[in-house]
Amino acid sequence: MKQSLRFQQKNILTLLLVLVFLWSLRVIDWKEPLLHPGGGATFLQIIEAMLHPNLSPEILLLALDSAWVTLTYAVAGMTIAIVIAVIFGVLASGVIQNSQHPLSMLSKRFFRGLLGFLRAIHELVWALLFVSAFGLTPYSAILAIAIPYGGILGRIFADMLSDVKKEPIQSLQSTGASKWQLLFYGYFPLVRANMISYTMYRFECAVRSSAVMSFVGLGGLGYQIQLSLDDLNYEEVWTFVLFLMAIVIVIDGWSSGWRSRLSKGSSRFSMLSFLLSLSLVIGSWMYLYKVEHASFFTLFTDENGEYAKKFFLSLLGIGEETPTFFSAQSWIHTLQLTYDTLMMSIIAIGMATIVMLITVVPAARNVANGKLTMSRSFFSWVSFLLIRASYILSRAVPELIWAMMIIFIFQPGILPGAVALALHNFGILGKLCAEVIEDLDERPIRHLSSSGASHAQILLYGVLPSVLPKFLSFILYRWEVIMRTTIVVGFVGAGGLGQQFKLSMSYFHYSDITLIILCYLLLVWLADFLSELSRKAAK
Amino acid sequence: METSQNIIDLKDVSVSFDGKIALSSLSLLINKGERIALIGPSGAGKSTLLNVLSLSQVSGTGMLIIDGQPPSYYRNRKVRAKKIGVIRQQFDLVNALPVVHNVLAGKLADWSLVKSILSLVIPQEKEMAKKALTRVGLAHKILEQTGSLSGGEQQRVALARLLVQEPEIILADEPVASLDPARAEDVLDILTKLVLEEKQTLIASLHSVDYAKKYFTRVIGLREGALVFDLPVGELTDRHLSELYKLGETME
Amino acid sequence: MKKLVSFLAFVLLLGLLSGCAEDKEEAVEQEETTKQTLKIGAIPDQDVSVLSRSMGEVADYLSAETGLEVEYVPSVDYAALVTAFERGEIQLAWFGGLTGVQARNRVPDAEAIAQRPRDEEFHSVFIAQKELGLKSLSDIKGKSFTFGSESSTSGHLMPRYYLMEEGINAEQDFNGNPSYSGSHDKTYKLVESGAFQTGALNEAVWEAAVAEGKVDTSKVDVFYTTPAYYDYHWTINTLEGYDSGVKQKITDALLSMDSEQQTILDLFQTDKFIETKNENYEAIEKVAKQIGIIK
Repeated sequence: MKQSLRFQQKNILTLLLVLVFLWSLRVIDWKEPLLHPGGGATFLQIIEAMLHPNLSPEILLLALDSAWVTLTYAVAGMTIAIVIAVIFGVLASGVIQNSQHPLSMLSKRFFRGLLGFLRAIHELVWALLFVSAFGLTPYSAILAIAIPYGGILGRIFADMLSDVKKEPIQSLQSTGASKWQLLFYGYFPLVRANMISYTMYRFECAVRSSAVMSFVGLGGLGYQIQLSLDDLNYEEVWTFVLFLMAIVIVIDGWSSGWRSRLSKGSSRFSMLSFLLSLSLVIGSWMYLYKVEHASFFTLFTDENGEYAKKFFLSLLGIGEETPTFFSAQSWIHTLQLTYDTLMMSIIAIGMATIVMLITVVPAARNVANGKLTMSRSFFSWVSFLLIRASYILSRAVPELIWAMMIIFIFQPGILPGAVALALHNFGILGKLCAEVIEDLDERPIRHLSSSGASHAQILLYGVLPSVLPKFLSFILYRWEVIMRTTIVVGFVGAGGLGQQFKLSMSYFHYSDITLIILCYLLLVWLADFLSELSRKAAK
Repeated sequence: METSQNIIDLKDVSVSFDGKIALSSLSLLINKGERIALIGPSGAGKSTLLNVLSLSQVSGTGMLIIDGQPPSYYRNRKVRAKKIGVIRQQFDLVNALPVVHNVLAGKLADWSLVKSILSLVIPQEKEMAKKALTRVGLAHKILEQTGSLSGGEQQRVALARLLVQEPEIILADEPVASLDPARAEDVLDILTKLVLEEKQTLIASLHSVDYAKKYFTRVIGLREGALVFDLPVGELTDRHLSELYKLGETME
Repeated sequence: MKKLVSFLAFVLLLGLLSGCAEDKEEAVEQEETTKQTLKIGAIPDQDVSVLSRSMGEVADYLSAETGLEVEYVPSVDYAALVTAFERGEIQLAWFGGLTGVQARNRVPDAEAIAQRPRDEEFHSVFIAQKELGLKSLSDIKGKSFTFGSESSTSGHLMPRYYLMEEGINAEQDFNGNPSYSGSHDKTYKLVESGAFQTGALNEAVWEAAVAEGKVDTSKVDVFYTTPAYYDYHWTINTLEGYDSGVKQKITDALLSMDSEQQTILDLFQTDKFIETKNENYEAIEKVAKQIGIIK
């Protein structure tokens, strides 16, 4: 009985989520045309340009140069993120606090909350704030990457530390090791492998984040993409996008290679990887210092302090007669945008899910090679490769850059934002979910297949029931991420809070910014809470 | 003082978890240099007793004197580490570290933080680690990843750590439970030999009565947290054992 | 103290453990030698390549005239230039009407010093795809529309103002919300490519595009030109830390450009620069306040 109730619980949740998605579609005015009158033609131009990117030597050289800048910022940002993550992660895990001390629980909570705050705000929002506070130095980009990534890494690091096996730690304690010695001889070695593999995964994301830093005026691939888009030179756009994809693929390959070897213990590959990452770090900082003449300490001059102070005071509305956040009308307006933004995120995850569900089965390797379905065909390999390629393209291009192209095609509003977010996320979802299918127990499905079930039937009876809980959890997790990103696609005119944020930044209405960030944080926390709740229900 | 021979003096110690009694007013006197085997069915309170003795189980009533000092005296971890060393089943070691660091971890109480961190880069007092590993027959594995060693070898590394730590009392909680018989004998062989050489006191919980008879001087039988017998190994008879392990009878 | 030492040791060793030595930060700071370098900037309202060519020439010319080192600092965003100007990172900037007002509100002692003759009577043009056959501004209702940058005077502020005067609400009366393309060049390119039906931009950029054949006037053309207003101008910062005569020297250098500097003047589509003053832009400020861009 209880089991059937739980079974129903899952179905009810799924139904509920589908209904929420359908309901969110109401926000879009379907009677008006969705595309620009010329949107279709522009779409064709963009697609056509993809087939022949501009491969002239000077563009390639420029792309190489920008790729290096993008990589440098990502590496430098990750370096600081790791320092933040280790320090705050250790403090948030509570392993060095005295567990008997009454304040230990409190300090743990405090640092957890701090990490949560760091990761709540999207890196591009940090970047805009830092550029206003510190000016256009590479460190505005680097710190903007470092802070949210430090928050994410720190949170995971804290979880890993508090989940380590207790026996080796107790044993070390009995040898008389102090808390700090426990950290270095027990906790750090125990989480090292997992930490490295998670950090490598985040590094790949950091490269994409670094690319979009151009949006606030800091060089790199994104800057070139933006310039080419400004000239409507789509051939060049694709060249730079291909470079971005190449970096992402190389890092992806490297990190999965390193990960698989880490689990087998040390090896030459791990050593080489370690040395490579070390030289990347040193090389990046050298480059920043020598070529860009950006010394970290020049950030902390009195003058900069003055500007930063002035900026933060104006965020607080000090010196303004009526700061925006005291005006009821502004609240109503901003909450309306907040609602739109929420709808944008739901439409986005809904669309990404639909595309993922359509493509995921042929995208699984065990379907393509016929192991799962017992039917091998040339066609299934072709579709496998095509879909996987589309996944890579989808996730290699950051949401913001998708949005920059999409607004040429769709009418301004929340739909282009949702489409851009969906475009970036279906690839990520597809990859994650295809891996779930690849890990599936094959026997029941082969049975279905041999009893003559069609593809759709296999999906419904064999695959979906066993993979749905995992899919749901990935979808909800991506929804949280999308929520954080909605503000970013708004920057380029794709509606919602982000567009207002950008306008207010341009008009120097800083107390508006505070109100928008408040609403944004509200959304992010709401999303985290709801998705946590649904994940529990789906278990 | 006349207690100088009694390294451990336990009086009326009771421990309970959530109302379930783990140890009920247990009293014991243990002399220096004894090798004591704790035997009894699962849940008899062997681990709880060892936790009380290693001072990691602090709640409970009764009195405990270790080498003439109350537990509060051992609150200083360095003092405690010199007095009491612990070895458990084979999960004691940090698998991701090379063997040498796991052995030298026995020295952490003596080292400053800076020295211990430096040691992770350039092993300090490596000779000592080498000597300890030689005594357990693993000198050739000093730089190997601990996780790649077999279960028996890992237990020997844990023994080498105890050699470096040099405690006066060694508490062993099922030290050979996860090993096959040949490896188990091997580890117990080395353990008791080293304890003898170092003139240490050994208290070990065991599943196997045969090992208790073969390697220990005194056997303590526990059942439901209470003492069933406490005998020199020579006086242990089958009747004692069937009393200890008999089924279906509660001892209220 | 002991805790502090432990903590420092911990931070130091982190690098070795996690493979991330952050050792470049401590490197010795280089002595700032840029004290007497004059940095100039311009709002990125047109193609970046054109802008960096013209501003580079201006930098060389000012350097020759004043004896200072002059460097052009590009910027991607209107607001970013205003912020940099406020922070004193830019000493001389080519602003639009609105950005100039924003900048001088943030640096009250900054002065508008020079403008082109045409900037006294500047216009925006509204363009549309030719096949639509638009005749007057009111015909624009129901079409899709793009502004330039949201901070632009001729691409956003004044077009929005004249739309308002015409009784057109930009948020309601277009086909969908208006877009902000980001620059004047992009506006006509988007209308020409068909992405948008109509748009508004700077008259000077439009004329240059037509003259250079960058836009196909058989596809897209002007259907409305706004009344005149003050727009682009050079604004000079307070120049703290510079010799007292520098401000005058720069002003003179700008005002004395003539046919010898024809290449520069051509890039700015003018034959000379003339004087201007802060008061000329009060009307712009009023409009900006009315629209709610300046509070």
